[in-house]
Amino acid sequence: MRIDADRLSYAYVRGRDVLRKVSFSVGAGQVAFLLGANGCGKTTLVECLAGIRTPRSGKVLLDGRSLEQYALRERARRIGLVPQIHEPVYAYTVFDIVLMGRSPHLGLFARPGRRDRMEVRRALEAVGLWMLRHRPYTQTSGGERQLALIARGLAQGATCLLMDEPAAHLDPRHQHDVFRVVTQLASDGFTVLVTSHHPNNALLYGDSAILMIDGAVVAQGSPESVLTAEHLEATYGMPFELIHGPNGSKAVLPKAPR
Amino acid sequence: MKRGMLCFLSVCTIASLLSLAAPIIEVTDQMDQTVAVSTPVERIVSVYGMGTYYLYALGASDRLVRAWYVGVKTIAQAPEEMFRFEPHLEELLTSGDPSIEEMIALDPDLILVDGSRHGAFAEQMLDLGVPVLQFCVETPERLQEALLLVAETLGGEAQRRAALFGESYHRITATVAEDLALLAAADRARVLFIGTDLLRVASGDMYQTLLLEAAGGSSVSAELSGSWNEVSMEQVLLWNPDVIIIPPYGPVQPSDILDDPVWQSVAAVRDGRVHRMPRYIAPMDTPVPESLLGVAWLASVLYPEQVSIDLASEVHAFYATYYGMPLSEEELEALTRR
Amino acid sequence: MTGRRESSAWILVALAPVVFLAALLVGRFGIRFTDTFRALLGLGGVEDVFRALVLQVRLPRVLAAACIGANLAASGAAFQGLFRNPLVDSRILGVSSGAAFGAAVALLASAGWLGVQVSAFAFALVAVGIVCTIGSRLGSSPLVLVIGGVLVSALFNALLGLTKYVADPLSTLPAITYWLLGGLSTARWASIIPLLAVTVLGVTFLVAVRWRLNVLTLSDAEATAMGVRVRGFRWAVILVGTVLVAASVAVGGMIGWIGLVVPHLARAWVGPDHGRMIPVSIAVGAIILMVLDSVARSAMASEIPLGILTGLIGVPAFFLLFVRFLSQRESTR
Repeated sequence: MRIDADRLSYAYVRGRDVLRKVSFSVGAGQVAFLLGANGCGKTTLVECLAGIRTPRSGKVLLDGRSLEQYALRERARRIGLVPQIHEPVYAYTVFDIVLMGRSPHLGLFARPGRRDRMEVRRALEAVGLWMLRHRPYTQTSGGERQLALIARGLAQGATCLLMDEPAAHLDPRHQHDVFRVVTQLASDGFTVLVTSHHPNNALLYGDSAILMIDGAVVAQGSPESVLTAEHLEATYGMPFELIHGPNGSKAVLPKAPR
Repeated sequence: MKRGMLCFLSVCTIASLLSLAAPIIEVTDQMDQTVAVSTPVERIVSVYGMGTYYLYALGASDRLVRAWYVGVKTIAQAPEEMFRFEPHLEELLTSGDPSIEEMIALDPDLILVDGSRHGAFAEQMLDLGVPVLQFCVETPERLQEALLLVAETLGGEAQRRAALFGESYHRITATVAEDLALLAAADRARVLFIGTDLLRVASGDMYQTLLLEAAGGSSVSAELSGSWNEVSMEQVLLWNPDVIIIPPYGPVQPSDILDDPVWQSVAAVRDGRVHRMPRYIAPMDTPVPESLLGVAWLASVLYPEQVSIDLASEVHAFYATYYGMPLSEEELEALTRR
Repeated sequence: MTGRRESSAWILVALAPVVFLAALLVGRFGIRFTDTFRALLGLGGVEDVFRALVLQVRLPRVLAAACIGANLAASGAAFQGLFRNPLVDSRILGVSSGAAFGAAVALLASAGWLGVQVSAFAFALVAVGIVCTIGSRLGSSPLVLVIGGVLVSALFNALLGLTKYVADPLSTLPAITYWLLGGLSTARWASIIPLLAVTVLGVTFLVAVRWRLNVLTLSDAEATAMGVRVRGFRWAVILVGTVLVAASVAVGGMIGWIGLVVPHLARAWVGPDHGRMIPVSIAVGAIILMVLDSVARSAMASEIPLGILTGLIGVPAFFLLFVRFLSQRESTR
């Protein structure tokens, strides 16, 4: 599935635009990284893409059709919002958390049935959490929680995942686990958009990168072409240098701070 | 503020100097405090809602400058009859908590107070040099003591009336006891005394229960203690009283009980013995002089065959003597019906 | 493990009717089992006084206790999920303060039991209505609603104080005080029919939507992203919960702690999934209140106010639950 942002604009307070005519697209099988400084509008953009917020102007397109033409539940069956991990109020099991993802398929008075439980099983197996399904969510590690939320998005039946800073709060090992799953899903045809504060993750795992400054897209394309030293300095307000590793790997580092 | 204090102190000094000239009597009130009262007592404030009626009964109501009346908080609530014996009701009537400054402004010679409710207020007034009598009237005997106590400070006619009241009370209870002397214990009336709600009943500690006993009956709820108690319907059925008495205040009417399907199994309802006390001025189940009539009324309701009290003449005599009010035929009828 | 939770849930739900029958056998008036059952089944051979006692006095009262316990527990559980806060009680939005004021005003006006119930119910809805109006102006997030509830409660409590001040200390003030302490001594068929109707409708609704309540424990953004109309659903649950509580307070006075403690008990027993937790809360709430009411009306000659019993049991129970909750959180760190 293809998701397009078409000149999206949004303002919380009139006169102060948080998103300025943002346009980009992510195709099936792609992992796109959305990068930018704190407060540049990434979360707002994700909420607009998921259909939670209505943009002031511009449209979101799913496979060429405007998102507004889809009912709320229809959107949920196509797009899975994977938020940042947070401390939940109640200690649901991992299974129950993922089961909640079946909401778009259940009416007001309905309860999950066999079909729903099968979908949950598939989703948990896809992310490798089936063995932990009875563990209370509160007793899982950060990485496991993030995978559970991805599984929830899968249980929705979504083919497009919008992930809001999945690397936050995760150590390098767990970050790797999560992105491994993400890239696997992409190769199975999923469309994935990831917001991030880590340009290196974009270089490691992304197929494309979108750079935002103050609510406007300044560059998009392959990660290498977007994550240049000038672009990064303009975005984060400090000098960077691009490093090439011996095996063709690349990384960006702040330039000699001390 | 300073000038006010100065004025106040001067007034107090002069007043105390003046009062040195007047005769002082010492009385012991019902909280066992000895209080010095300078006579003659011309200005009385009664914070004790029931004590106000003592002054009427003793013929000293013209000395009232401010009064609380039990059951009546505003002029709108006052029954018509009250205006007959107290034409100045509007200026006298007040309610709520007493304010010290107001009391001082009224310059009273004597204040009547309920010892259990306004003890702190009484202490403060005593400290300021104002005589305060505190009352604690839980039994008919204490009621008579209270009347004698107030009468002591008033002298003459008041003391005569207080003594007369005591005699009347003894006469009535003695008559009842005599009339019921031959009644077997098993035939004594078992009475349920209800309050302002169907399932709110009087405890054994209350004045109402003592009146019942003086009238020759026994309270089924005597085992309860404290003030009004809430009970379940089941408990009422268990007690199965012979007679049900409703106080003269509150919304409950005999028909509420007689017509209620759940109450039909109770003996009192089957026999139609559900009575509401009549009311003229003060409620006759509370510690006011009217409780004299309360005993008489109860006795004639509980034992219509045996008791020889002429209720109509007792009522007539009471209001004529203690309130100076002769009653009309209809009023007498209303007060003596059962 | 899921299996054990599932069967525990069914056992608790099945226990409720058993407790109901047991409660009918308890009372100050000793009645033989056989007589009670004969009266219940409408058979002959029972003395009139026994029949009246069982059918007119005990039956409506135990039913009322069951309904009120169920209502308070169900709405408490729903609100704890809705407001994402396990310390929320069913009375969070000012329902009981409004009801208390309404009852006091009616008692001041010497209204009968019907007037008191209607007034309590009406003012309960007014209080919540004010909270929701404030809420909808300011975004109707759970936080705004809770703060609105605190303010409105304080307002009606002050007004209640005023009614107590002007009430006649001989008759009205004790009536108000007693009503506030909670109790079912006046429960009879006429007064509980509205309560029964409200219970059936409201509890059925909450049971029907219980799975969806799980989704509401997530953030608004997440729930919306999963296709749930959060605002509409929230208002619907608030409305139903409020009506359940208002009807319960109108009949039984201020009975606290059930809405707070019972959902925690249910969660401790069968987990936080509302699919199991709501029916269990309902059953446990009904059971607890039927038991407490049996104590209230049978332990002594005079009635023990129900609100006092729930408080005396509820406070230590909540304390124990809280200690357990803390130790659980410790062990997960």
